[in-house]
Order: sequence, then C-alpha cells, then structure tokens
Amino acid sequence: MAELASSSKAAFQWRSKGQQVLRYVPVVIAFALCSNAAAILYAVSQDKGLSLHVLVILMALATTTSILLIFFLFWSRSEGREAETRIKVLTDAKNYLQRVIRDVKIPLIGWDTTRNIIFLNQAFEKMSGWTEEALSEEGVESLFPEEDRYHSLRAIEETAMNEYWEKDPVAILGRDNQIRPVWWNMTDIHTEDGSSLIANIAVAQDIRSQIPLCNLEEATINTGELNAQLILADKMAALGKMAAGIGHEINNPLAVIFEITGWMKDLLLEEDLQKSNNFEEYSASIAKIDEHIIRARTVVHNMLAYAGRLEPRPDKADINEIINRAIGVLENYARINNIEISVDLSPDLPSTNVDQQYLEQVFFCFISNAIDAIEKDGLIKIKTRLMVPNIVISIRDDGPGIPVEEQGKIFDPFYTTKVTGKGTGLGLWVNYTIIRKMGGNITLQSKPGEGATFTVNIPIQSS
Amino acid sequence: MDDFRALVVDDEEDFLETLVKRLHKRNIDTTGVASGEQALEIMKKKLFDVVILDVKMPGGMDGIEALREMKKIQPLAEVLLLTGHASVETSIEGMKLGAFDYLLKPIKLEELLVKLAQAFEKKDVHDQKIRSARIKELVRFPGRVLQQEKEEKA
Repeated sequence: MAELASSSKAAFQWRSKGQQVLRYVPVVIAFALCSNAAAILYAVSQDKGLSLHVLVILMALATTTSILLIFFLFWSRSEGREAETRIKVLTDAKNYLQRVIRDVKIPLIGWDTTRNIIFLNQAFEKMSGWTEEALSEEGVESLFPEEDRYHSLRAIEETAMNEYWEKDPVAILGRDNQIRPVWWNMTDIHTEDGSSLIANIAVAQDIRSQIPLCNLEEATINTGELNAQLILADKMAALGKMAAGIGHEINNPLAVIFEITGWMKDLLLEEDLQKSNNFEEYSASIAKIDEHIIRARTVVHNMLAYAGRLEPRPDKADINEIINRAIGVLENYARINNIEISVDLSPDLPSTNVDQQYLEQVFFCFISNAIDAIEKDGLIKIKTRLMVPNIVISIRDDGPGIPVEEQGKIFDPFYTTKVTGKGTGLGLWVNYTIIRKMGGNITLQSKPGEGATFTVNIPIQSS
Repeated sequence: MDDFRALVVDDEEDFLETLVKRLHKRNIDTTGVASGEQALEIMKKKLFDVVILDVKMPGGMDGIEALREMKKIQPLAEVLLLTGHASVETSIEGMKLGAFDYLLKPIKLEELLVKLAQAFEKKDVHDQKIRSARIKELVRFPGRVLQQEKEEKA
C-alpha cells in the first residue's frame, strides 16, 4: 500500500514539473524572436551586402527554430515514457493487492461508509456463499440473520466510531440460508491524516473451524490433528448435554428412593419391629440400598457438575502452586506403591485467571491416573513451561501406555479400564470439559510399553 | 424445636408424602403441598416457621417465583431450597431473594434437620429482635398500644 502511495505521488509531482517547463516556452520563443530582430538590426546598421544579411538572418532563424523543436520533442517524448512506466507501476501494484485480497485464505470483506461493498474475497465467498455482486445487490444488511441484525450492525457502527472491536462472535446468514457463527474482526481504514473513515474491513473466520487467527499457520500444518479435535469437541458437547439430561431424570427418582429407605429406617426404630427375627437383615439391606444410592448420587452430581452447568469461578492463580497442592494430596499414595513424582516447574510462569478448584481437580485426576497406570515402581514427571500465549503442563508416566485404538475413547464419559467400583470413567472427561472451558486443550502422546504423556495447554488470562 | 411449623413444597408426590411422614415422626408439625400455587394459598391462612421448597417444579409456578411471592405473604418465614445439581445457579439466585440456604437432592435427613434447626433459630432470633423492638417502642410511646390494637382489629 505504501509503495502504491509513493509511486502515485511521484507521478503527480512529475506531471506538475512538466507543466512548469511548458510555461517557459513563450519566454524561449520571445527570446529567439528578439535575438533574430537584433541580428537583422545589426546587419542593416553595418550596411553590408544584402545577401549576407539574409543569410545571417535565415541561419539565426533556423538555429532557433531547430533548437526549439529539439527541445520540445525531447520533453514531450520523455514525458510520455515516464508517465507510461509510472502508470504501469501503479497498475501492477493495484493488481498485486487485488490478487492478495482475492486469493488469501482468510475470509475478508470490506465496505465503505455508505455500506457499499468494496471487495469480498474468494475465501469469504466460499465460507458464506455470497458473491460480491449478489451481496452488493441485496445490501450488507442481508449478511446478518434478521434477529441479530440490529446487534451486529450496531456493533459495526461502534467500530466506525473508532472503538476497536476485537474478535466478536457474530452470526452470519449464508446464501444458502444457513446461519454460520463467525469470529468477526473489524478494522476501520482512515485517510492518511486520520481525519475521515474510508472503509470498514472485516475478517470473518468460521468459529467451527476453531482456529484462532494467530495460530493459523500452525493449525493448517496439523489439520489432521485438528479435525480429530473438532470431532472430539462435537462429541463431548453432545455427550455433555445428554449426560445432563439423564442425570437430572435419574436424580429425582433417586431422591424419592432415598426418602423411602429413610422412612423404612425410621420405622425400624419402632420397638415391635426390633423384636422381629429378620430385623438385622432388614436393617443391613436398607443400609446397602442407601450406600448404593449415595454412590449413584455421587456419579450423577459429578456428571451434572461438569456437564456444562456449573460455571467456573476464575481467580488469579499460580499454576505451579496448584500442581504442588495436587501432588501433596497424592504423595502418600504414590510412595506406598514405590512411585516417584519428579517435578520440573518453570519459575517464570505468570499468574493467570483460572478456577483453582477445578484445575486442582484436573491435576489430581491426571496424577492419580498415572499412579493407577503404573501400579507399582515407576516414575511420574511433571513439567510446566511458559510458551506465550499458553502455559504448558505435561504429566508423563512410565506405565504400560495406552493402545492406539483406545486413545480416541479415553475422554468419553464412563469409559474406564479400571475394575468396577474403582473408577467411574468420568475423570478424563471432566478434565477435558474443564480445560476446554478455560479455552485450553489436552493432548496425549502414548505408545504401548512407553508410558503416556498428557499435555495441557492453558491460555494465559490476565484479567 | 417445639412449636415448630414447616411447609414442604414438592411436585414429586412420593417424595413429598414420605418426607412429611418422616418429619412428623420427629415431632415437627409439617404440612405438604404439591405446587407453588397451593403453597401460597395455605400460607395466606397459616403461619409457618420454615418452608422447604423444591426449586424445579415443571408444569406450574417455578420455585423462584413461588419464593418471591412467599416473601411477600410471610416475610419472616425462612425458606430452604431443595435442588437437583443442575439448578444450583437458580438456588444462588434464590438466596439473593432471601432464601435461607439450599440442599442438594437426594437429601440426607440429618442435614435437613440441622438446616431446619438453624433456620428456626435464625427466625427465632429475628422474632425476638422484633418483639424487643416493639417493647422498646411501647415503653417510649405507650400510646402506640391503642394504635396497634386498632390495626389488629382492622
């Protein structure tokens, strides 16, 4: 853009220089005429042969005219050539910019202050189905679904009033009438002196692609991995909803059963029933029923708690400290099984806004899973690193590892390899849900026989 | 906890019936109703110390709405909310509206009894404060007795 501006400026300056030169032409002609007249006067005053005089006059005239002609030819020619090259530079620059905008794989759209479309690139067309012509005809407004139109357009007006609107989720309406959620990142373009607004340029990234713009490069490299994560995210959301529904439906009958066994216990306290032969049996049976209701209740509550119903309460936290707390709880359990927990915690982690309780639960689950996986005699390595914009935590165990075919299932709710009663199969699912809610992600590297490493990425949040 | 009157509001009839029986057995004067509307109706006729209210009652007036109305009819009655886990946020909302506390379903009766006792105590302290404030007022302005009688008659 800068190049374009400077070359156009140069062209402009050049043209005005040419005009200045042209202004001097009459002066030059006048000068030539004057010098001719002087030559004639001189010849007459000397009163020599007329033929010589005529010759001198003609020569002077010819010389002046030819000088003038050459002068003119030179200027007009070079003016034309210079202007041509300047125009070519300009067109090239313009074409280049247009191609960049058209071909870049980021959906871009721009419109001016009166909401006329300036451009709409191929990626945008592909994402929304709208072509430049179609949208120009229907108006920018029809890009937004009717019910959100007011909000969306108002937000855009706010941008026009110089409030930088950083990445807002906006719903847009495709040509096929499908609503697409997009990250809408709007910037306004002003004149060079900043006095007036020329255009609004927006980047609209389909949210479902889940790729933050800054990680675009990295993300395209890992498209395979990304797709897997997307499928996982979808599955988790669906399962979460279902779990919440089921949980709630089960909780109510559980409450009734629990109340009724309670009533039975109350009745057992009556004297005549205590005399019954089977009193002990009744009492023990009811205690067992209660025990299992409590068990079911714990599962349901855990499930509901993390099925997206409870909002985390973020707070300034030191991740190393949280990890140390989780280790503290499990230290004994590890020592009994002769498992060493070694830590390598980076001292320069910034404090970040996370729900401490949730995060402690996450690390607790990872470490206790690692201990369970190793069973006896082994090593767990926990490492934290600052990799802006994330804090990266890895938990590595040298247990038996996770077979490839099981790796896709480990985050599913109720998936467990532990014996019945030892694990609910909710731990990793809960971890996954919590970390996703914090905007982070979990990855797993494992090969059978070589242990497993879980890596948690948590974005640093300062406020 | 003598002279203690409780009202249980829950649309799950089996739950309601059993809880009422169990509280009766512990000498708590308990009334059970199956909807928010019925609860408001009965509260207009009878004073309660504590109301045990289910937050989620699909089909009728929801718990929070009922709570708001109850606080208008009997501002001094303490309200204990019962909730499934999913409606914890609603319960917090309820506490902001003046509910005493909330319990997760399925409830342990021991916990419920402790909460009931606390609620009753709070109400009792509150009642006493009001009573002593009245006495102070009357000592200062004995003429108000007449006024009060008039109000009561009206």
